Amino acid sequence: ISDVPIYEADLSVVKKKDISEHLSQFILHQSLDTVDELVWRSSHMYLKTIDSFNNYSVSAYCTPGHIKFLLLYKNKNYINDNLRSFFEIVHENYIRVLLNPLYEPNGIIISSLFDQNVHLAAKKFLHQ
Amino acid sequence: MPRLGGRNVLMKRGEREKEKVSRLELGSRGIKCVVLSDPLKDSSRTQESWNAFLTKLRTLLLMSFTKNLGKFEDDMRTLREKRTEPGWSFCEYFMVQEELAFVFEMLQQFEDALVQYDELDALFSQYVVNFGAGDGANWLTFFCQPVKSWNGLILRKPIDMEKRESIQRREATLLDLRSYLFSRQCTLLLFLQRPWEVAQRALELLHNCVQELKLLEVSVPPGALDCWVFLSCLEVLQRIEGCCDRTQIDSNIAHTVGLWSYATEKLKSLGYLCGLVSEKGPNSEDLNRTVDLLAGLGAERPETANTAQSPYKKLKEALSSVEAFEKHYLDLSHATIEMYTSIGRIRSAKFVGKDLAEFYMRKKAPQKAEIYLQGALKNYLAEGWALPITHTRKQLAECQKHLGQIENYLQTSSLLASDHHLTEEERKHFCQEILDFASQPSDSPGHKIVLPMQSFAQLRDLHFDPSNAVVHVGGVLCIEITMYSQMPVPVHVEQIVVNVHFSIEKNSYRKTAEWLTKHKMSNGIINFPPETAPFPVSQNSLPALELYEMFERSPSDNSLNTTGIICRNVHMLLRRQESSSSLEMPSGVALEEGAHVLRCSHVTLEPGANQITFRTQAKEPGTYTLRQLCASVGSVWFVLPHIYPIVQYDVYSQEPQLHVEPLADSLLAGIPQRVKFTVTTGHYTIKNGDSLQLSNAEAMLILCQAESRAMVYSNTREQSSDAALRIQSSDKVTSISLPVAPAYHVIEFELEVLSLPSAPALGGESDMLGMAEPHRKHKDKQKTGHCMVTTDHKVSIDCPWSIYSTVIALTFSVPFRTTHALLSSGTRKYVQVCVQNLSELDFQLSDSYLVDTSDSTDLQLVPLNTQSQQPIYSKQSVFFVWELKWTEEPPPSLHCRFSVGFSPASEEQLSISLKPYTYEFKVENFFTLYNVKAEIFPPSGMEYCRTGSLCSLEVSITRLSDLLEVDKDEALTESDEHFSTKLMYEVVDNSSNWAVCGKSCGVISMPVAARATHRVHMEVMPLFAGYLPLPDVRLFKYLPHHSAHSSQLDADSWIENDSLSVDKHGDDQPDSSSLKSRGSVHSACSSEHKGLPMPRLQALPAGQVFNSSSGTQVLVIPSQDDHVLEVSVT
Repeated sequence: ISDVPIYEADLSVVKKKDISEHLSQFILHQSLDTVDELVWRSSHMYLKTIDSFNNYSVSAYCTPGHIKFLLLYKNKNYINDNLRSFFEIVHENYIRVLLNPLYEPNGIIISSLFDQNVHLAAKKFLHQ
Repeated sequence: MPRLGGRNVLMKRGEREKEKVSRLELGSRGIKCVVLSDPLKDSSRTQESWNAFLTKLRTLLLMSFTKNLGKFEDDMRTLREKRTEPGWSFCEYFMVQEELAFVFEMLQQFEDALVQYDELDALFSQYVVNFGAGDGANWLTFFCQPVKSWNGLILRKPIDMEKRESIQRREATLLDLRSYLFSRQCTLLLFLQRPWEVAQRALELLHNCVQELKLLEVSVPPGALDCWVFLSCLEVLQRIEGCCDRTQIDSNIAHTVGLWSYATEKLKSLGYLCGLVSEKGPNSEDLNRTVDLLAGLGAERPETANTAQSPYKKLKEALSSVEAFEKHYLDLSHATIEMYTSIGRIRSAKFVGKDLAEFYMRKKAPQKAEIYLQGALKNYLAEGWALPITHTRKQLAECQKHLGQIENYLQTSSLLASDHHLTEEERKHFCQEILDFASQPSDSPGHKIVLPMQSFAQLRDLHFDPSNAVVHVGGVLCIEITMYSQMPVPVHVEQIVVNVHFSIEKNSYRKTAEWLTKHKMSNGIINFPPETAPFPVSQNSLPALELYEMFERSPSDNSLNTTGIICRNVHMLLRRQESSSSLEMPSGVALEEGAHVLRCSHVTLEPGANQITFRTQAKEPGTYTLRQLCASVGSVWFVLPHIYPIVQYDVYSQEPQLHVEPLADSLLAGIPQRVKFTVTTGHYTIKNGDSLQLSNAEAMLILCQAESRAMVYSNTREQSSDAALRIQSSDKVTSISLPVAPAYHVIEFELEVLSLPSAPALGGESDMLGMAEPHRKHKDKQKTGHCMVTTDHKVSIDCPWSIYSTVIALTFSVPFRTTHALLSSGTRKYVQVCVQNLSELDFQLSDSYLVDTSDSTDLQLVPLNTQSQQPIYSKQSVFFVWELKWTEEPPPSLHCRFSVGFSPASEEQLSISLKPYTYEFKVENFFTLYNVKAEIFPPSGMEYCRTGSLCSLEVSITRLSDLLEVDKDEALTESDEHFSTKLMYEVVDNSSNWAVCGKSCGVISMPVAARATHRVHMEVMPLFAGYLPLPDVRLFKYLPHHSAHSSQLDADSWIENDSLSVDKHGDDQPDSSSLKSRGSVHSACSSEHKGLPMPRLQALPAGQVFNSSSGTQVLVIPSQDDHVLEVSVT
């Protein structure tokens, strides 16, 4: 089963980045390999930090329906609990999207409410 | 528990400690610890004492260690608690805790030793993180000194004393500390036989260090970290290889591949940094940098100096020359890709491959780069990652350009030009690349580069005009398409061509002109689904998992053996995916060349939606299917190989036709009715002077109205014109000149027709209900009940387009039904005519006449109708009555004709005078011959009749006239100038009010002379009280058996009446009892019994007998002793 991106968001506060957008996608895409392996080894949905690239890290979360959430971040300071909480809120919001009868599963998420909530969660747990 | 053997070593070393332990033990208790016997004596006691000693020693030693280590740990913890105090030094604490680790290590407690290092690691990491958060400890600044040496991890020695000392001296850098810490962890992990954890931790460490240096803002010369990471990776890998065999390594690639990949990456960046990747080789600046980097490595360590493949030597060699770098980099890359591929980490393999491709491109080896780029692109396309697709495609475009793959390059360019993830400039650049190529004069004229249209422009919708996509031969069809140009700039397209496939479907009703014009009604807009490429829809098209629970129970005791989940559609889900879409394969597109094309030349496609209109004149009838859409820009052809959903248009040819149909549901006879003429011109063009020639039916008029107009419509029902209709009528022919109309049009006009009222109908016998029966040469349909009588008129029409006449049948319904009846009052006679309106219309009746057609002067018909105008509403009846009067002998029969004028009540004035409605009938034997009078008298001495008591019934039959013509039949007997006839009377009480006692019927001989009277007396008994109607007295003619009419009957009647005749044969003389029971049968059937050789009964015509007592009633009072009163409520 292919991993087609269904939602992307740039949650960074600073707009100036030392990494190009396509490179971040390359890193995330590559890290899916690790996620695919870890998913079967872990009994948790939150998979912690699964990959690093230079000074970037990738954390992952995999729902029981095998929808993967990947977060690429630079700041090492994140506490695992914060990341976990962030992912859990995203998961909760994703379930709300799924409940929408007009949303086709695996379809691209265009819900602005979802987007808004993801940004709010990022603000709460990631931008401290 | 620690083993004793391990501790012996320790005992020798730490003798002081042992003494201390013993002293403490002895001192506190002040008693002997052990009693030992002479070991040389071989007794059980000796052995026991030694055993006890050893056990005790062991226990005490353990206790001692536990106590001491516990104390040490307590001290250490106290030291750690002071870490917030100023002047606390991590290095100092490090040494303390490491001492504990050493103890554990010496005790072979590697796990415990490792825990000490992990704690130190965690503590340090926490400080670094806190430092990053602004909560810095001042001792940490010591680790922030610039990195000057980056010689990598050293894992071959159990303890790197050099580094340990530097930590002790508080001179270690962050890298030194980390390196030392890891080397210790590595050693312990290897003792613990966990080499894969080493690999895993190493990767974490390397990333961690890089991040920590960033966090602490340690100044690092460019490339230094790359060197350090590269060396460290290789060192870890070599260390692991050193303690594992090949098979172990091969089966644990998943753990080590990360290090390989990291090393590859770092070598790559070193290569780029030192100018080893450029075509020209390193410049002086690059060389300086290389020298600096190599200087930072220091001298090779003695322990690896003799190893040929040491990380140090590798790095030094790789940085030494372009060729060496290439060799090392390719080795590493290929190894990494191979490893990733072997463990199924395809994405990672592709990512490394992409880097490799970049390297090849730098090295001007595009042919080698292509395969990696294609592989990566395929992967990204399959998973729909837009930005990697764009980036890879951009590299691929460059590669293809270098390779001279013109078609591929143009295709990739078109994809990139339509890619919204690129900047406007980049898109324009790629678009220009295509246009530049297209404008180049081609070497071989006619050579086409065929590219898929998808990326160039998309077909959004298609619109037909006429909207039903049906057009007649010679008609013009417009097809308007919306093309959404994906290009960033306007593109001039020489021509846009639609290839059309032509097919003829003969003998198919669905393709007839009638069907097409009527049924194929759509809005004419076909929408094409927007292409989702490059995002594949494969995932969405996969069916959902069909999971079922599965329980397997043992057959003996029904206990659960196994359970599980079964996926029923595995075969669907695990099917091999189609290898990537043909998007990147231009060769798959074949250009179709057909005879039928729609063309549109010189179009400029603006970015976004463009309307393009194709115009075609339909030629051959058939079905045309749009197959391919091509747009040509110079020698570049963009082709949409299949237009889907299927788009078709139909061309038909049609024969001219004439339809005539009534406007209303049915046409009514006698009044003007509108009929619609529809001329479908088909392929025939109506010229000036063309006319329809209607041969007049004799009883149907075509009413010419001056103002009638004809409408001309196109075949799609759009009105095009209207014209006055000229109608010329002669005796035989009505000519309607048609307005001029082009082919494939419809002319519609209405005419009024009038079916003349039906010819006079002959009524039946006077005692039957007469029914108007128009006798026509046409077939008449007469239905029972309230259906109207219909008449068909056939009109033959000559049409200008055909030598044959068209025959059209119109059916008219007669709106009225007429019945007549003869009414008597003694000898006075009345004729009643009932007109019933069966239609839905209301009519106005006027001028009713009844005339005697035989025209006897003697007879007079006096109308009793007062009003001359009479409305007759729908489904209602109107009655007319005339009295018959005569002076002399009445005629035996009367032929009458009833006529009444009628016109629709709603219409004010009709242009023509309508013919009256007529009805003819015949009344026979209407003159009253006999008067029958019945009376009932109460029993003598009684005032009223009583129930249950016999009353007398007096019937008197009186002849009212002398011998008449009608009397002359076989019943008439003549004797002495006196004539008499035989009659049979019958008293019947159908309502069972009376019981007739004795004979209820009898035959009498009636003299045929005026005022001759016959009286009959009989007894009847009333059965009920009240006013009872008198019983019926019926009179029949009693005919002797020698019948002259017997021959009139056919065989059927004989058989039919056989049983009855036999039955009757038994009693020749009809007696009362038998007749009473069959009275009704006789009366009904009597007229049919003529043919039998026996006396027969014939009912007298209704007009000949007048029952003067009909309707009279007799009062019957209940008998006194009858107390039962019957009340029936209905």
